[in-house]
Amino acid sequence: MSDAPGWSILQIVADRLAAISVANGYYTAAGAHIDTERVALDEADTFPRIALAEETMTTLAQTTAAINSAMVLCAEGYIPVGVDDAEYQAHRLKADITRALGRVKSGDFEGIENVRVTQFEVKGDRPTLRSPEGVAFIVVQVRVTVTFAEYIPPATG
Amino acid sequence: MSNAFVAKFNALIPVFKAVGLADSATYTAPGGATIVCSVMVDYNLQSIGQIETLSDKQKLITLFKAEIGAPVRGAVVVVGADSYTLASRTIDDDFTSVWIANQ
Repeated sequence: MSDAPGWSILQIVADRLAAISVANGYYTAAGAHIDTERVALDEADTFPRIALAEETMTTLAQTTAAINSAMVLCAEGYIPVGVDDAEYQAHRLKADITRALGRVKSGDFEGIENVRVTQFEVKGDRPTLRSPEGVAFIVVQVRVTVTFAEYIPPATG
Repeated sequence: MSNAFVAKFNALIPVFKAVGLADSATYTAPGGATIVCSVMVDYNLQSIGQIETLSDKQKLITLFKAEIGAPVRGAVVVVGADSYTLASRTIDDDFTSVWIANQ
């Protein structure tokens, strides 16, 4: 059996975020480290990096053959900052994530079995999370909404 | 706070250094002269992030007023190979001034 629809979509989005590199024309190299499982980080880890996770999953409608859902994914970026460049670095990382997600198209998900993504859009809040003073990192978030239909195959057993 | 009590506390500063609670350092206010002093460096763990938890060490620098008077924001404290810029005052009493610092 193929992976769960939400997970399959998330993995494809993660793969697109992995394109974020200076060589590809982005400001940062955050694409080198994309986490899709939640882990605890500290200063010994490699930065910048991005975590991608489902924030909400909502059922929009159900028919006899399919369930239509909207999934909100949050890409959270972490980047080290100096004494006087926190906002500067935050804007660069946020721009990178936004651009990479903005390049994702509904057709990128065509390979997922029994799933049709009907809409993929960068949507919702894109905040910079305030760090306590003296903390040498800043965190940014970018959200996307993925609307998709999951076709329900007949039961086999 | 009585002067006698303040004097007794200040007499402990060399003891703090002798037992390893404090380090030798230099303090330089913006545009000021460098002063040799003693400091305590502590770390307060702070967590940021909502998907993942990123913990980082917030640096707390304790300075002794008997050695440098009233510390100011933006002053640079050098302890060995580490340099800290005082960012935000968190405790200030008759003896000490504790600052969150950027490293």
